Amino acid sequence: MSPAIAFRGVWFSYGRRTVLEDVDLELEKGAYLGVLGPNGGGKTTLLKLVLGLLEPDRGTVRVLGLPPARARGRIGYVPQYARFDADFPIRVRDAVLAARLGRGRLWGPPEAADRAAAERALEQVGMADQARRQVGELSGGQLQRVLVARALAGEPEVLLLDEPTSSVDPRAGRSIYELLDQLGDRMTRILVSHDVGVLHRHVRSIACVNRRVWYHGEGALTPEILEEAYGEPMEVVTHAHGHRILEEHGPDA
Amino acid sequence: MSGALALPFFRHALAAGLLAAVACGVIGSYVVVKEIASISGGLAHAAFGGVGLGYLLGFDPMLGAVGFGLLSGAGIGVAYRRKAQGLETLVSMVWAVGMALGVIFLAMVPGYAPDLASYLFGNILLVSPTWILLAALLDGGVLLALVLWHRPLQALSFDEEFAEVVGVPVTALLLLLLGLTALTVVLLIRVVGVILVIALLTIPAAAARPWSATLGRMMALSTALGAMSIVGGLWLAWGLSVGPGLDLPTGPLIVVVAGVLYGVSKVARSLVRAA
Repeated sequence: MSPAIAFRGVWFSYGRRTVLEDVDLELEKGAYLGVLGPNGGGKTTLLKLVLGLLEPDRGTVRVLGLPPARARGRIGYVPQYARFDADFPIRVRDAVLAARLGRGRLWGPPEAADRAAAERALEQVGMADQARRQVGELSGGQLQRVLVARALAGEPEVLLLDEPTSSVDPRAGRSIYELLDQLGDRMTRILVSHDVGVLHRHVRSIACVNRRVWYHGEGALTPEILEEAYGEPMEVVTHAHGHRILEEHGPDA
Repeated sequence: MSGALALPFFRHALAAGLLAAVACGVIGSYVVVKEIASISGGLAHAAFGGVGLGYLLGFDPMLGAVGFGLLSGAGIGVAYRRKAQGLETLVSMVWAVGMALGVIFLAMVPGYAPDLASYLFGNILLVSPTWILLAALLDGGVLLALVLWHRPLQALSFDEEFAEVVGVPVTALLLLLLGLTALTVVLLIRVVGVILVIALLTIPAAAARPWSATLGRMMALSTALGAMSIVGGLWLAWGLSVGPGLDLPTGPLIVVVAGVLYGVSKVARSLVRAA
């Protein structure tokens, strides 16, 4: 069985600025990978290579055994919230239904199965009662949950999340992560986050991205890993946080 | 205005204005939410190059405008999709070079000098029955595209990356949108001229936006506001001409009325929100 995601010797640069260098990474189906690293270190670039939005300069990326562009429609994506024009004149339900456009026909109104999938996804994130509201009327946290619902509505086999809870209050954030846990082995997940605590509690393996990618498999998230990822010893607060995690992290965690 | 309605050219102008408002409202709404106003301005000025070439070589100048508009739209669309650096610069170049070519071609036309001002500032009072037929056809095409592909076009405008990821043919739809924009722009040249086209595409849509929860509603509202601007501008031109005897060009009057409507919309919106 081919891995869900495979990077082999991947290099990528924006113009003359190399962002990713000789990346090798392989994820089995159902994997749940957390991605850490400094801003500008290449985390979002890594996701965009999986999505086929960017092409590597060298090396190959395979998703579900295919070039990313041919795996389209089987990959879900929750982009960074900051990128949005929050005032866009579109209702929540229509924004979520966009996830179904690649599957069936492109023209005309959505089919019953599409409506049902959108409805289900909105229920999963607790936003079903907001389906008729305009996205501009939502709070930042609600919009982010809608973006998660949109990704789920496509019933993807691979789900990529780029800091999906950066503007959600902690309780709503937890409910999103619990939902991601429940998706279980049906979905291969990659979660980009700066929240070391969240990564520790939820993901099964960690990769640190800072030009290069260090894959840590299933193990403890140590201060050394964080230092490696961020290229310098972490600030005291984060460092202390890392230590606490290390202490909490038992063999059965 | 009843006196004016007795005149055939005025009735033509009115029909032309109402037809133009439809294409303008639908395409203008996409232009505003997709933030491609500067691209549409570039297409208008590129089209002027085609007008000049038409005069020089002796074919219908509007045909030249359509050709230049569509070609520029395709070129800019491809550059846009390749995320070419300096897209803004490219658009500015198309804008200026198109205009320059138009002026040069027109200067090379032997004999009489064509009426430049009516292309630069438009003259809705000069529309022909053929133009009205073409405007009706374009409206039909725009509405057909809307019925068929509104959902993917909306998805593309809201979040182009996501649309691409789920498998929407983004490049084809973007070229369709830019093609329809180019045709609309060429149509509007007759109404408000090359220089003011961008106003009629953006101002009614921008005025409609704060009142619209959906893109469909924004289109309907901006069509109505566009129609009000055109009819209002025409009415002003007529009134000022028969009243104080001021003969003012219709194109700029239409744009000023649109600007006033935009101001009214924004003020009313903030009053409604405050209440």
